Amino acid sequence: MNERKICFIMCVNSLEYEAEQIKYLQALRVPEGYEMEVLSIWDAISMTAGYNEAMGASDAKYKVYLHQDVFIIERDFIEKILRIFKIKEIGLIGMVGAVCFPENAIMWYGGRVGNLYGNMRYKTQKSKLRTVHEEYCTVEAVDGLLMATQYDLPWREDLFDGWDFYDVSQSREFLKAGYQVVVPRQEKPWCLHDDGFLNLKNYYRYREKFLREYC
Amino acid sequence: MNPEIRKDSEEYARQEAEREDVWQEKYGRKLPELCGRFDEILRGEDEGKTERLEVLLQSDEVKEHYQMTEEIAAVTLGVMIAKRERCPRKNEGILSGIVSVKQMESRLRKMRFAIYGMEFLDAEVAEEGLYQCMEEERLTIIGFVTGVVIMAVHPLRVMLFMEKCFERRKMYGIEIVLLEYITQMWEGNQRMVCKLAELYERMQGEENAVCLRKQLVDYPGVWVEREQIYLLQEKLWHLRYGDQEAVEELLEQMGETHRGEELLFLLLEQEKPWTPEQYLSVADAWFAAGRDHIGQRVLEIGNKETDGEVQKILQNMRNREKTDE
Repeated sequence: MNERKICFIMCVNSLEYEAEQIKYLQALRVPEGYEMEVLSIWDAISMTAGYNEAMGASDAKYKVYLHQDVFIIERDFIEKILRIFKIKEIGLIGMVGAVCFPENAIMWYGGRVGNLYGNMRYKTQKSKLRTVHEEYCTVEAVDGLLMATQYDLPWREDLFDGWDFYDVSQSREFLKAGYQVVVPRQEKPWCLHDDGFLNLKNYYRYREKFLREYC
Repeated sequence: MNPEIRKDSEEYARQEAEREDVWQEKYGRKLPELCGRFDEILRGEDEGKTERLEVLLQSDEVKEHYQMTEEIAAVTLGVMIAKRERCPRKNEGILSGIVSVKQMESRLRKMRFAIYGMEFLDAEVAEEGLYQCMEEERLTIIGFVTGVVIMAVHPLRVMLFMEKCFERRKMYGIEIVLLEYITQMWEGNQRMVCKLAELYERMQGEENAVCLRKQLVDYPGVWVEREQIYLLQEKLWHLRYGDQEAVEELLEQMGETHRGEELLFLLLEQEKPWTPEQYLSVADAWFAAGRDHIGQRVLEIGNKETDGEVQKILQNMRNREKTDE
């Protein structure tokens, strides 16, 4: 395991998005003594399968799993993440998370914390989320738009074979393993999510799966 | 739906799941067919295309069930931009060369990327992205700027960036159109009015320039260089139009200026009256930044300039709060 390496991992299906995201990754400042790599996983059968494949392929201690439509705009992102990961108990960092996970497991119906610019097609704006005032805030789950880890825990591809609930499941796996899951304070958003509209076609099916497994 | 059901409850989730299933079954399945109808119009004759697209967009079916889909959002934005474009030349404009909804989505995506780049990437990369997008996508400047208003986090900042790019490349014709658009939509930027007058003088002769220069404020009693006043006034202009991050920048600039706050108040007093809401939002930004005395002064000036309207709105807000309690 290379302790001074950070790997950015994305499952992609669009050359346009991949090229654009790389522009933002190339603009990041890499702290002295560290190296950075980018892994694009094409044709993944599911998010968990793609992420497991990338996890096995990289020797970086720090891994940042992000959607292809998330652009990191905070140039000191790596340094800021590394600072938080100095606390060994913290396993997973997200940009947006739920402090108290809602009874029905739908993250956006619980009070979410964090900061983010989002494009909802008719408008681009700062998402309405609660502010984190301390250096970071412990949460029960983070949004899969970006998940940074300092330990490798397998993604549950045995359960989540689609594109939903892999994030909440992985948050639970980190908590089960005894690590903290956190959202850092971001005075200005660290990321822009060109997300558009949610596709919920299979979302509720995976919600049922999640509830059966974890609740 | 029962309003008593909490959104984080299991019952609510089940209802949501049911609604989603119904939508998928009744409408989601028909989306490709609907896109086919839009494709047909896009492939058709240019004459009246925007209007035909709009008629379909305005149909009850589309308005009620499809507005929150990627495909229909793309057509809606395309039409919105096309309507703003001032008679684009043949083979130019947001709809030019577009024969399918998918292509429309792709064009808008490229625009978003270019716009995000101007906000968040290095200037050189962003500038390259801007020209590439405008050329390859055959966009008009008005079409592009309309996109900026919709897609940028900070539209005014992106437009100022574009102004600098066009200035550097001596693309004065486009720069004039851009500045005319900005000064009409977001009036009151003194530096920009001055710049536009200069460009008129250079490109179109004296007459328009003279007319425009009449809008410039003299700033009697202001002791710093005109350039410095414009820098400060431009930040105030950002703030007036909702860019709250301008507070920090204003504070920084005021710090560099001898008697900074005094200068700010002088500028504020010499602004042409804003709307009451603008005074309130600017005051709010100062309060949020912990500069209550500046916020208070903005309210006083606003109240004077709007014949007490600011005070009335504040009083109404307070009354509402009391009623709510």
